[in-house]
Amino acid sequence: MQAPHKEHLYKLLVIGDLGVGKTSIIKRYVHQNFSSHYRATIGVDFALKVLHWDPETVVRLQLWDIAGQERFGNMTRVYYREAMGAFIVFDVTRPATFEAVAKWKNDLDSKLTLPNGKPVSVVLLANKCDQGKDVLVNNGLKMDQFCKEHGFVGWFETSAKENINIDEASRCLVKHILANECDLIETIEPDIVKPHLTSPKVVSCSGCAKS
Amino acid sequence: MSSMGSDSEINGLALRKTDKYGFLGGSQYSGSLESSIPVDVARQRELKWLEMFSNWDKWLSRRFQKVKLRCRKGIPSSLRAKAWQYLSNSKELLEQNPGKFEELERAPGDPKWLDVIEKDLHRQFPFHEMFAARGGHGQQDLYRILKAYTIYRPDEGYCQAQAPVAAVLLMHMPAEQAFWCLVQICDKYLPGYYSAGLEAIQLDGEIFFALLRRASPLAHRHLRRQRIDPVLYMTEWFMCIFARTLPWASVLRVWDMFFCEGVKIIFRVALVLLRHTLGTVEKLRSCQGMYETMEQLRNLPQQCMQEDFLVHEVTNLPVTETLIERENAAQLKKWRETRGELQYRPSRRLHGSRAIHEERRRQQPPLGPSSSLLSLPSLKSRGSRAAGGAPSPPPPVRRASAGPVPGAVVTAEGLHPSLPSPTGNSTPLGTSKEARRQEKERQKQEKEREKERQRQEKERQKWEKEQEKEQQKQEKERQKQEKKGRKLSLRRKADGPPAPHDGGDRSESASEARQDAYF
Repeated sequence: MQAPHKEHLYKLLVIGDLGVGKTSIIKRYVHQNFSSHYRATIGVDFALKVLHWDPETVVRLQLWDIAGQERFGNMTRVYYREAMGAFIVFDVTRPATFEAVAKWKNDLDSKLTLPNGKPVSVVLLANKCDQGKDVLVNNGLKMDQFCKEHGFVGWFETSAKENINIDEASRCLVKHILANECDLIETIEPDIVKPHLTSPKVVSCSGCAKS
Repeated sequence: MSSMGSDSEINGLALRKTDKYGFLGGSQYSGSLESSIPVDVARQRELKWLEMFSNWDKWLSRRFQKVKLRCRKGIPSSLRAKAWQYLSNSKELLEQNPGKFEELERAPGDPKWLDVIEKDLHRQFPFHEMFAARGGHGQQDLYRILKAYTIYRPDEGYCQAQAPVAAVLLMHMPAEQAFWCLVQICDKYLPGYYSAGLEAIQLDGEIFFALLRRASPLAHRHLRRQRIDPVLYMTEWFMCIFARTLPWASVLRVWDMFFCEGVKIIFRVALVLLRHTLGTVEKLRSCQGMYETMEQLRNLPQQCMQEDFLVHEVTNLPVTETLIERENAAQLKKWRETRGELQYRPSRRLHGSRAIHEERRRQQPPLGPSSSLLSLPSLKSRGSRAAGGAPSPPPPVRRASAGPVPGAVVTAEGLHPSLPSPTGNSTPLGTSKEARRQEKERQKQEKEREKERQRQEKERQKWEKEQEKEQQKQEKERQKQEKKGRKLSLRRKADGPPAPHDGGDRSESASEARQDAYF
């Protein structure tokens, strides 16, 4: 067996209003389970997910679970530092949490940029879609439009409880981060050999394909 | 309505067995590893505590060291709730505000806060029998006191970290008592911790990191190199007073000491934890990257959290109020230089029950000409603290500007109970000339008293300044002498298991240092 050639370590943020299910999403993604016994996150929490991206690449994701209450926003600068991507989560059953999405995106973009000055890749998660009250995202076109306007690389309807779309959302985000990284290397060393990732346009997830 | 809650809880969970603290499971479930105190010792302690309760003021003002020692040994569980209320003085607050809690409960409350509180109710100690059931009596009471607080302190509102603190209180006492105890924690022990902006906790993070440099240079250097900001790991520890971090027996012991000695205990516990998690070369070997370090800090070694070990270490750590206040001043200065003025200026932090007691004495001076504050022997210990703590303005400033803040209510209702109040009769105000005259007279007296108080305050400040100067002088000298010795001793301690007491407790007097020794 051949050892993987490449290893990436990425810090990903999971942000969004309080009680939208950030911790649940992370627990589902990392530990493959769901519980209704989670504690409210105070400050920040962490989890690690190892992805065998392809036979040659291992991606380690450091997931930062950040407290949703507004007053912890004062500390977000510290939490955001050196992150490569983010999920912004809202709860489809609570419209107010969707309204806060743009606020979170602005906060993120104002405090965090990639080394080349560009904003980090962000995927929008419409969580708790199993509860069947997602009037908000019924209109997919509108969501696409919203993502385009606010600079999300894609969006997914997710359910941590039913394990819907979480792996997919993560793959979408990682794909964009990898692509970004290639650009980054390109801009620094223009005549580097391009890895395979840049060849055909990297689009296959719902959100990014449409946008 | 609360009985309904407990019914449903019993239906759902009756078959499961709780530990002796009421936990059904989870990381804080206590297995069989309990250290238990012999029955006769426990009885003895209870008797001693009962005796203290019956003469509380005297014990606090004259024999505080003994009270402190007894808190460090652990308050008997049967008397813990009462002791916490005595230590925090929430007992008096409750007595001075009869019906206040009910009144707050009846008020509608701001939906903005109520929504958030409701979202958090089922997320506090989900493995504790009291809070496990949705809508159970534990969650109902939690809602009542958190809501009441947002009405009591509309300028503060609700902070998520208050919920675990309130829940711990509710595990011990009824809602109304828990409410006033929470008020004391938020107002006196940890002012600003839960306020918008969370500046106080960030500042304490900086203070903590500076103290860590002395307590465990190795851990300090490691965290600095990996650029791990203190707020990444200490936020939950400090804001929840370790309620979500330590094994339950240790949580209670830490809270016993905290109610008596104040925030110093939080700093010390955190320093001990870091020292035993990242304090040696071997321990650091497994922390190559930031993530590994963070993992270590989230999975602290069991041994250093075990109650007797932890309390022993905390007791022997030479981190005093003076040291904290000095670092507070230094970090505040730094903050102002780099980040500008603080947005929120909390009232002054009081270091435990003695300071709370003294503040109360100042606000309710005993009658008679002998009431000069300077004659209070306990003031001596304050001197050092006040100068360092100067950056945070004294409470009256905030009270005055914040409008109908409950502090003012308390003042009005309980300030001078021993004075024969001219208006304290059944005559309604403003109905008769006599009443008006009396009122004027009272105001005049009040003014005079205020003047006297200001004069005393000035004198006190002057005295404190002198005291501080003197101390600085002594400190410098000591530092000179200590420089070599201390470096060595701290380092030695950081690298090994419980070492003998570090030489020279830095600023507490020798007797205080001796009292610091456990048992």
